[in-house]
Amino acid sequence: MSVTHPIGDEILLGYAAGGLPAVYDLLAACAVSLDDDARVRLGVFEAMGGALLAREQIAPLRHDSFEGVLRRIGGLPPEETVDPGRKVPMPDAVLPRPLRERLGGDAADLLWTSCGLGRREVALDHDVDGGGCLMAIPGGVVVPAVDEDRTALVLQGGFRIGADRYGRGDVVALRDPDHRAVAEDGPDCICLVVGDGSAPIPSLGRRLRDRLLAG
Amino acid sequence: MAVGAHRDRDAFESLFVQFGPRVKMFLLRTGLTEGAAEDCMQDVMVAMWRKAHLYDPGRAHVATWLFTIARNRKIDLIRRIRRPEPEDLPWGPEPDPAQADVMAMQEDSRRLADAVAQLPPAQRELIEHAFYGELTHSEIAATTGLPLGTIKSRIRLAIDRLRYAMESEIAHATSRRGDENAG
Repeated sequence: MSVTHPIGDEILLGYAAGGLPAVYDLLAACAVSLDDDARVRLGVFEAMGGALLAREQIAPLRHDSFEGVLRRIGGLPPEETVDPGRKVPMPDAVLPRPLRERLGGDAADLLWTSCGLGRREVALDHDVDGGGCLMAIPGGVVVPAVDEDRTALVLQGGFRIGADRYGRGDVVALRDPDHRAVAEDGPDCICLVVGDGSAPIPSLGRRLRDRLLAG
Repeated sequence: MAVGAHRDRDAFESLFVQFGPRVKMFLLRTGLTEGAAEDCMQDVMVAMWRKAHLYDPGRAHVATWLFTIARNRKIDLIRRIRRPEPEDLPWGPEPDPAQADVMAMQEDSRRLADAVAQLPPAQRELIEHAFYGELTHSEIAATTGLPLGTIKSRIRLAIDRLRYAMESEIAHATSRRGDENAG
């Protein structure tokens, strides 16, 4: 693993605490899947949550609370195994498991929508607090600009912003319109792009402008 | 943990007594109503019983494990879709954690919990904001001086071991396949 622009502590802590918009949870789960150092940092933040819980004050429970738990356990089949499919590694998969589960397959199995200049995308369901998409960008083509702050996680290939190179597992905020991300030659650069704005991404107007500028 | 190994009901009850009220308080603080917090806490305890065999005391303190279950349950309750979790690292037969690792993890976690409890109010607030509010901060480790370094190296060690075990497993499986092909 050679992550050079790892996911930031801010997103990881938010993920550990459980306070992130859903799409950022997805990005964090994917980034951690690709980066052991991020996994370690997440473990630290979760240990902090555990430390808070261990020293938490005591809330009064319902008088029959424990009996309620036993009743629920009694009505359930024993859970001796986890779904074995979840444990089988897929070392050649482009998409980390959280994304495969969300989209129902790996990159090659998905229905991509063409969005000009050879770029393709798969939109994620938009919810109230954010949205995102999977993008595939051919070498030499710019990553579409967006109106709001977006965060990208690279999953295949790479792109450059100025002198900086971003590859698989790298996370970057796409917010500066003067420093556009350009996909590298080679296999299409695939990345997960999420944002917490309300506009679908990328907006049609921007797409049109990208196309005109590129043309 | 006795609950995991033997499904010991007494051990389960003592964990319930210790953590049930704390899990409920945590849920109340994150904004759930009394009824929802009680209901969710009971769910968390049921999940603890059912997942006990998956808990690895060499990788996390029981409080940390319960914290993650409570957090996930709460989010699942609010959202319709299941919260995405990172790809699971361990697979195949997992080695039992060495007793020394378990002791060390428990000890480090206890120190961390003590340190959190002894923080000056302003710094404790900073952490609580991150966990109970919508705020996120990256300065926590830097500004609070919590002993996060030891926890970090402990987790790093556990993950490196898992990676190592996974790689030997893969190498073993590959060489076995190679033998079969050769034969």
